Amino acid sequence: MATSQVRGKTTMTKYNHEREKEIMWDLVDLHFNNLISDDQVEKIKESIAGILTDANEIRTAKLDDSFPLLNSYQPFRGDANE
Amino acid sequence: MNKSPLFKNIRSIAKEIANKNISPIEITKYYLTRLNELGPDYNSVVTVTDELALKQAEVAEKEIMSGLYRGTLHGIPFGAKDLLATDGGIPTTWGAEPFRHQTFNYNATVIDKLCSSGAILVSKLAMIELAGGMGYRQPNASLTGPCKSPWDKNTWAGGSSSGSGSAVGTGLVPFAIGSETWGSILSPANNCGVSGLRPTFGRVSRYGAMALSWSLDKIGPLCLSADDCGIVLNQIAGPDPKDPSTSDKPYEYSVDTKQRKFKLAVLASASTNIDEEVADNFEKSLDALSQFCEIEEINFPEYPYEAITRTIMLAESGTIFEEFSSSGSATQLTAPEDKYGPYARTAVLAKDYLKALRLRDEISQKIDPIIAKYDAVCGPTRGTPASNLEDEFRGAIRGNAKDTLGALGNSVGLPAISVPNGFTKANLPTGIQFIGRVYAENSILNIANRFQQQTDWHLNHPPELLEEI
Repeated sequence: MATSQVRGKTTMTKYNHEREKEIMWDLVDLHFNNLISDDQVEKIKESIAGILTDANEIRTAKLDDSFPLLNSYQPFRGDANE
Repeated sequence: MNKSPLFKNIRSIAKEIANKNISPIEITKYYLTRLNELGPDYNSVVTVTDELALKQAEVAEKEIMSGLYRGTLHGIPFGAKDLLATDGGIPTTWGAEPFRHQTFNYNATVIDKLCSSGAILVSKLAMIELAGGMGYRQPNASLTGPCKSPWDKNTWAGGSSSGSGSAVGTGLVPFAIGSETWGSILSPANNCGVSGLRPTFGRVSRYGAMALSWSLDKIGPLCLSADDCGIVLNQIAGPDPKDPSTSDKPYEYSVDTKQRKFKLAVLASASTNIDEEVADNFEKSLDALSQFCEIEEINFPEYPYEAITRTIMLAESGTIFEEFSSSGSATQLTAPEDKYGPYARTAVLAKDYLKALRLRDEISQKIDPIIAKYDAVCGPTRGTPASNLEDEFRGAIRGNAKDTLGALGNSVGLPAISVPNGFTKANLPTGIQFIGRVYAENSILNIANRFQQQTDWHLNHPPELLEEI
């Protein structure tokens, strides 16, 4: 069986931000193409850039504990301080 | 009417009603007149509920005359942000053109709770369309037009509970109910020179309230004083089987009569990048607070607080408004930026949302031991006074300054109160906020009460509004 080769140099830990913006715009355009006017395109792209800036801050924020491989984290809203 | 209720606190009005010096019908008609006469000038009212209010007033009057006095809110009129469902054919517009004719056949729990206490619903109040969830960047983002501050009709009342703040500050209602996902009670409290309380997440039922963000939305009062906020919270707090997010922790408002010394923390970066006059007023407030508080400066651990709160809000609102967005209904909204606002949030990835939730949990665990050493953490409510009606802004809450306290407090669900703490040279009010531990509303209410005993900012009202009509 032939050994498979990796397809590129970027990984999820080394973001290509411009490429991600383009992909996200394509996704938004795919969902809402018939509702978006020409004069809104650049403004929506600005909003996407803001969302991805936030996302990058979240992705690089360090959680104190390592990723819980055990099923200990429940992603629902609870009374955290009780 | 022998004694005008205008700009009187709830206890004063209640005393007059209990002593039968003012009748519920008289007082209701008094506020209905003000709502109908002045409401349109400030764009603060969506619907005046004359018919319902007079029916409720008649019932209250009969009950009180027959000796059945239900308590402090009996016979007192109030207004509600127009995202709270009301039955009886009264529209609930969510401040948005596509929902102009929307009606419900039930009341929001908070409306039922207030009405069962004998309070009288006199108005549904203006708000930013869809509670600001579409990303508005200007005051003119509501089907009723830009809501105006009582202090200057050329300036904005704040948002998204715009009408709730403006109506209290213009004396159209003795108190009002608003809601906050991020800044929507505190911002109008600041801009309108009134007191606004954001309760702990889960303290007040959201049943029947428009959802913007399931894990961030809170409902709370806007009033003329911190004491009034406590009185109203006492009535609206409590578990509700219809809203599983409500806590079963009991709440009873109690006024601290011991005149004890409080411990207060100030966030070191609280005054960074804010307006000079706002910073000056905050410093003067710290002087006043030092008479009954030990004050220490603190820092919070480094987290991307704003990014976390915004990501949670965008992901949840993107889901909530998916059908609305896909149908093209956003094009009917008022603010141009709201017409395309919902589309971009498709770009929020599930993994980023879930990490934001995990970070929020970690923050809540780390922050609590820090603030547990204090009765409250304080800072300026907003970085600027009310902006001009025509001005656009980057963020509705802090202008260009960071909003660490707002982002942190709202994401973790901490209670906060904003009270007036001075004026700018242009005679616009500024505010100071006190944030407490979860379920510690009484701590922040009592500090705010003491602050209002030491100062008289909350007793100032625009002179032109003091004239009876």
